[in-house]
Amino acid sequence: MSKHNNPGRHGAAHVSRQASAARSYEQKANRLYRDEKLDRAIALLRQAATQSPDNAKLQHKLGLWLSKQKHVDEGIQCYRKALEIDADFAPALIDLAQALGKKNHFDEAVPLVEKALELEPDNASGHLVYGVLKQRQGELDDAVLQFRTSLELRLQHPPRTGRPGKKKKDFNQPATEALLWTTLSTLAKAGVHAFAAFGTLLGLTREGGLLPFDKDIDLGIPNSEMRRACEVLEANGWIEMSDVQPHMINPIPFYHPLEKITLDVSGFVVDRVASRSCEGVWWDNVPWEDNRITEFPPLELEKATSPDDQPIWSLRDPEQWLDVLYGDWRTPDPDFDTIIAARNLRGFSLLTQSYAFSRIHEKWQNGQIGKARALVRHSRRHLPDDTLLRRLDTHFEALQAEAATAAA
Amino acid sequence: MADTPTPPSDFQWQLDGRITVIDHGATFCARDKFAEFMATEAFSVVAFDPANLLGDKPELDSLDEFQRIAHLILGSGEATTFKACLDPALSGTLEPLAAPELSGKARQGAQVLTRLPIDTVTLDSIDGLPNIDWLILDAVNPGLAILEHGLGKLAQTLLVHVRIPFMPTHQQQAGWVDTCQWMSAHGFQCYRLNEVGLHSHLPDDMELEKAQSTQFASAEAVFIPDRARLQVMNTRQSSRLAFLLDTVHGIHDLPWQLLNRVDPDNARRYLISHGYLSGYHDEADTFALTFADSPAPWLSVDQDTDTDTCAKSSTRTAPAGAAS
Repeated sequence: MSKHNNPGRHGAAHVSRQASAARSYEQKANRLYRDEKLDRAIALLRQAATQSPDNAKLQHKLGLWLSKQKHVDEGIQCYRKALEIDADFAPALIDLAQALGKKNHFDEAVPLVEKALELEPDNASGHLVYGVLKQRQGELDDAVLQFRTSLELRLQHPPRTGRPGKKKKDFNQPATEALLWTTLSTLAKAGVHAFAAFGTLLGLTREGGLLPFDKDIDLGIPNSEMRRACEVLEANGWIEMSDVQPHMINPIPFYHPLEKITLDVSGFVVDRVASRSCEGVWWDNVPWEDNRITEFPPLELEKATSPDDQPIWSLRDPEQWLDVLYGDWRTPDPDFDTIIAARNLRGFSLLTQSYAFSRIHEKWQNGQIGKARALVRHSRRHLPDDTLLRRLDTHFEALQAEAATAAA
Repeated sequence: MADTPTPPSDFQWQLDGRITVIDHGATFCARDKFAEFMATEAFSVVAFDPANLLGDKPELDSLDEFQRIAHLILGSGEATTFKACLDPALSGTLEPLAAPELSGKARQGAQVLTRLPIDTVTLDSIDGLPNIDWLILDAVNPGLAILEHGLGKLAQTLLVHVRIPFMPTHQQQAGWVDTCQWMSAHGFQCYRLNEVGLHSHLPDDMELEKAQSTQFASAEAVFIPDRARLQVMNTRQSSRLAFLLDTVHGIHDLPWQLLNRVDPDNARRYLISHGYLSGYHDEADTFALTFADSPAPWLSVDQDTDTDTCAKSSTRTAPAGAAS
């Protein structure tokens, strides 16, 4: 008979002391976590897990917090420990599946989340994670179905809306702008026709500089020059981050570890059938018509100089370009999500839909009801008869009204 | 500056046929990057591999313009003995030094397992090879003998790699001085040393916290034609040597000089393509993206303009790496 089943008098007292200690450690850890002192919270939760080694929930929570601190592998170990203790613990199955999915280990991740959904068919998080896995595998029909199911379940049992996340920290705008001009100029000198695009172009055109809190730089280039651009960028301090989403072939993401800035380089092509230049979010495991494609007027660039007098390329008619992409770009709209709301989408493809439904979920989860509702409303432009979107719109409207009343 | 601005991507190598390579000992072919070199379709390679270094690379045998010779080596043309050692990299026709004369790692690896008779062929007598652009020699076969019996072919050779044993492992190995003297007397100059192997005198039977290796053990000496030969090299040879130095060694300065003699405009484009010169000011003031530049990947280049895009693309998936 095991010690846990019949610990004996002294053993029982010891176990009780351990459990009590574990609770104390966990309570203190929770307080630190709420105060966003994550490292200290994790240290205490480890103590709790040591004192209560058969507690699957503690191991799971530790896994969650470690993952949040980017200690993904250690987080995975904790989820596995939780499942060793309780193989049917659905939250650990789901979070392990999610963590493995991020590492593209789909063969292991998918059966885990399928098991979780067998155990708890109405687990909204399970359907969300299943949707993400399906999306990354290029099975977009299934992905959209899972995201919709997750949202349906949330509507049936609306979650307590989380607090809006912390405002993004401001960034070193002059340094980022300097890096933008240097990067554009370096590419131009290397024969790459790179130009400021999307949010970067919007900021430069409307605000005369990068948008506040927009730490990403967006560049466009002819798709045929992508390889050369990658070589030049890598030779100038940027790291290509394609391994994060290995099936995504456009845009190509980069990261500058010194300046801690991300850069998306979007390849433009010419669709002579549509007489348009096109770009978008393209995955190589998805049929073309299911990818997210945007259409622009023919791409025309002209030579220009940066504020520090370096040679660059820029769009000949940036305002026309912004009109096509954003519509009324002169009025700031903090809830505008270009992936979903772009005015020049070619249809509302399955990939765009999967982004839309998963992002509605994410914003709702994070308490960003305004952003969630904006996503719903932009999606309804394409799917006006969709009853799920209509109900979400109504629900978010009510939440916004409640919040307005409370504020008043 | 050219009258018509030329984008940098217009730089082209003008090779006029494949580069002929003899890899004696198969050390170059055994490298991981060899398949990448062959993918350029610029090389035609004969690999002498008596030690079977390529035994675990059967995929090489299906490559175009690649020939592996296992039971014959270069030399004086007379039969000799192949010493198969515990470490295949030390197997050759030269006799390994006695164990006390060898350093730790080589001491065990140089143990001869078996001796096999093997025929040799002279470089000059190889049929079907009018010239050799690039010769690679290892240090476990008699390099100088190979060179002595290849004077005819070597007169036109552009690049020679010789593995130099600064710490000898075999008897009668050609050392640094002998090799340089021979090469110098036959129209070559040493350009640089690559892949320098260093020996450590620290103990190898202790768990050291850090390592230090300070003595040259071996290096690959890179020889190119000497100044006199370079000056009279024809257009074809200049281009081929430039290509070899660029592709094999990542060298750009001498290739530019060689290309500049052949075609200054192309040499300028070469500098632009490698980022030494900006092509920006050569370009027109405006740039318009065309279908020919960057065709939509969901359309084939020769597709009729009235074709229904979606219907055509309904079964296609985006090609992997299309944008990278």
